Amino acid sequence: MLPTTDRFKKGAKETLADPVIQMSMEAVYTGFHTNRQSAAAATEGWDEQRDRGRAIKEHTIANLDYYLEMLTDKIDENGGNVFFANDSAEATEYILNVARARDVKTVIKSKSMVSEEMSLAHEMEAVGIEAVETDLGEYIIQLAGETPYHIIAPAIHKSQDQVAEMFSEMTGTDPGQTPEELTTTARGMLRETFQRADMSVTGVNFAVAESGSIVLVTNEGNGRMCTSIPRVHVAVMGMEKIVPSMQDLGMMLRILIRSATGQRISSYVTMINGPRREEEEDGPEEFHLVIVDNGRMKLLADPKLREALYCLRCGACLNACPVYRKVGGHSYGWVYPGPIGAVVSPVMSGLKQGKDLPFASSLCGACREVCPVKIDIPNMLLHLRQQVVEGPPEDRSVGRIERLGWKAWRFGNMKSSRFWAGGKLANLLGRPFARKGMFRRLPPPLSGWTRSRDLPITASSPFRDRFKKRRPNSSGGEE
Amino acid sequence: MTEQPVKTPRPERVQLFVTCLVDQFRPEVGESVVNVLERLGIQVDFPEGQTCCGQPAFNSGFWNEASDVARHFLDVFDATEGPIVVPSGSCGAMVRNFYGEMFEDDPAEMERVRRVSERIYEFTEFLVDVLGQDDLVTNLGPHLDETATYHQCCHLERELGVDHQPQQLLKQIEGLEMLPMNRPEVCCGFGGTFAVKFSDVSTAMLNEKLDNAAATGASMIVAGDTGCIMHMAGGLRRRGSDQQVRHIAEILDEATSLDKNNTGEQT
Amino acid sequence: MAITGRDAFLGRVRGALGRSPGAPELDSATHIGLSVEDVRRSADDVRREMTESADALLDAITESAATAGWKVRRVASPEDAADVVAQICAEAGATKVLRSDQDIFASVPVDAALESKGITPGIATVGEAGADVSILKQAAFDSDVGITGVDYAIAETGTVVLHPRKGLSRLLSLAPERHIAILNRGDVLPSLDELFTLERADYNDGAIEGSMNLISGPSRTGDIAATIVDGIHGPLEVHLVIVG
Repeated sequence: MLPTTDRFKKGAKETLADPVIQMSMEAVYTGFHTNRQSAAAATEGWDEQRDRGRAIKEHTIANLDYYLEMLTDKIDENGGNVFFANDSAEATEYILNVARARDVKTVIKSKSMVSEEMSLAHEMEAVGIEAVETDLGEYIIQLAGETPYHIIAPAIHKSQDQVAEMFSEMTGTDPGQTPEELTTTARGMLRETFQRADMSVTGVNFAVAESGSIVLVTNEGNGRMCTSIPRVHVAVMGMEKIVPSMQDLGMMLRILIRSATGQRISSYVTMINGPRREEEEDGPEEFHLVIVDNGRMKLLADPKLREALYCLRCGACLNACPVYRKVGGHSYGWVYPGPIGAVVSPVMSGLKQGKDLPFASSLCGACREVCPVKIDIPNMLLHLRQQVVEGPPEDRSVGRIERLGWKAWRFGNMKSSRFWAGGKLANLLGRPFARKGMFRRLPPPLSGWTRSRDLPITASSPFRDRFKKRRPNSSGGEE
Repeated sequence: MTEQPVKTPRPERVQLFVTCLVDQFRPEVGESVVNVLERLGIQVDFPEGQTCCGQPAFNSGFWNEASDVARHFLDVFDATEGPIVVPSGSCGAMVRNFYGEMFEDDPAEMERVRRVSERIYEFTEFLVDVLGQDDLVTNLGPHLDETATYHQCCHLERELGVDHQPQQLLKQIEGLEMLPMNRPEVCCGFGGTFAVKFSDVSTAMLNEKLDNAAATGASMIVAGDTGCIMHMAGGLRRRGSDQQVRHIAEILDEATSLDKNNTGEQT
Repeated sequence: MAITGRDAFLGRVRGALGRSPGAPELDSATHIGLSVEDVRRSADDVRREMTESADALLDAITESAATAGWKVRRVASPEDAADVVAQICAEAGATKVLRSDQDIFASVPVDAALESKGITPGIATVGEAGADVSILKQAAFDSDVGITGVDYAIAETGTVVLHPRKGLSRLLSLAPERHIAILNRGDVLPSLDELFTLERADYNDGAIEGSMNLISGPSRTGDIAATIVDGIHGPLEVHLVIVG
């Protein structure tokens, strides 16, 4: 996907003005987030499991080469193929080559955010391969020609009416269908496609290093269709999606799924240990795992950003984020929106272009509170902000006026006499323009404030003056 | 997140870290802090050299400027002793949680950071965890006939772990009816310079918060951080609303200001 | 099979981490350090618990499966189970019914029960080597009901575990509109953790199957206006018949 991370403010403004999206996005809090809170409260030892999950990811990422090597050796032993892709172009080329070599006409896709990085369905269509998104949310946005709005619910911004209208245009069904009727329509539309698919492309929720297994977490059944019917199954994964042992899965699945939707478990969890065995009744004959970098090495190489790779892609941080809920998924301008997106999207697709993203947060910390592996997103945002201001030239991007402004701020705060004088001066100069101690309109940059809020003038008698009056002999301390 | 261990014995004297926003914009909050502490028999000192903890620059990525101002803060407060009380979650968090980020490569500075951080308490944290809130209740018998709704300031809760002390104190005030708002834990949208740089988003978050507060019918919103208070109050003024926003220190001050404390002092 | 591009990739990973190749010091958080013996012993414990706590676990799965969206029926005998299966099929108006070729059907006389309702079940296997797998696929998609046994059930989550293998097709529990799973007393695990202990023990013994499906209710989606709808690409309805 080509990044449009520099459009954040514009996208946010448009989304804020869209009442349909604003209403749809409420479900992120009232549905997913609320359910996650209940599930967390109802799970014994929840916090300890998060700590342990984090420890597992920390260990795995710190030794990622070791576990990648183990994983791929095992897949090889099991009869599968592994391709290491440095970027999305390499990954795409490999997959297209597999499709061409196997004479593939129709590809069914199950949810994969990495494949969105590659715009894989689009690339396939461009060379004449029918590529069908089978996850209902992905199917809907594919119909709409859009990119995903949320990590696990791609079409969350669409209202029932909008979806019904889209389906109606495609199939001639009643534009007033309920979600139940729409779902039945979708089932019918896709069922026939499942049966004739030659190849599937899925994501990977967990890859198990010790056995070369991959695990898929789904609800709809399309993931299982993808791993049961076509001759060729290609799984794409970000290089970080590994856990060392099968026995780590119980807990990882528990914290992932309850954080994502609040369910005790998804309808389906599928573990695949290689292509089908000869004596099996059905299943893909050929298995490929494509392991993708595409900018993840940058996260890996920075000890302050490394924990972004612990992410399980559950979406809990999106669901808790009051900023995401208002600005929506497209404002972030690349594959990953929300709090985790504000870190990985600019780092992976270009910090200079995405320089607004680390600042587009009030640092409230709700994301960290709900993360199944306790990723400290606010800390990473602060680190990225420092990069934008004081980092290497390729990352640095701050206006001269702002730099001067903070130098002036520093000057004023190094001595209490200056601090005091600054306040008095502001009071003196501002008083003619304030009404009842408040400003209604100020020039930039403070116009950003006064657009919607009054701003008080500095006190004519600040606290330190009042304290002096109460305690004329109080201890002073350094200047 | 950092939580402070409870310290004994009961301190007689504290240093006040009043914060730049309180000093310059809501000095009455600082006065309220002093009033309440003095009524509890604690002497309050105000190290005059203090300015700002450095958070605005730090949050904006200007760590060079922030760390200079932070060093000045450490100069001022490391020259004092005893507990440091701050009526702000975000400023307390800046010192306790984030000074370490800026000075992690400087062992000497980290020593100072550690020494000063250990002494810092947010105001309600100090009242409940150090003094014991019963002290306030039994000795001062707080009373205030009002309705109020509490907003959970993000850094106070999530960075300092102060998630029950304010509510506990408010519950002790006779006559004060607390009316819980919807989504009390959701950010009000202040976020420091975020409020200016992303004013559209900030405003949308503010409107949701103010709608939720208004729906309670409470005459005031109570909160613990002055930035959030200015943001919410500014929005209420713009709406032409009567609803007030007060700092919890002001509520405690008002509730305990009748002439019934032991020292007989009128403040 | 082929591994492509690994050496250069791993070299870059090591560069990013500042790590030299070699086994890391293990963190006690992960289970990977457990020896084959440790795992075998844990697996033995699990199997013992499955037997010793069979009744309690059966009670637990009865409840959790219902919570997960299974339609649950508990019966005393295998014959009763067969009758319930036939009843479900008849009530659904099923004409095409497929079952797996698993041991359960030796004790639960499903074929006879279905015949008595005028339904002749097919067996979802490709038959002799070389048979056309597309016939099996067609049959699975055309069937109204798919019937399987249960390898394990999981009380924590209301889950049925199936390992596709000879005699048990992947599609059988996926393509038909209805899936009926028959669970025997003694096959219930307390939680996901016990499941993966057993899987790992099997893996260590070289006895793990090619894949595993955890099924916890009907297929569902929340993708339209965040409204949860049961029944999309997988079965619309799932039934758990518990014997014991």
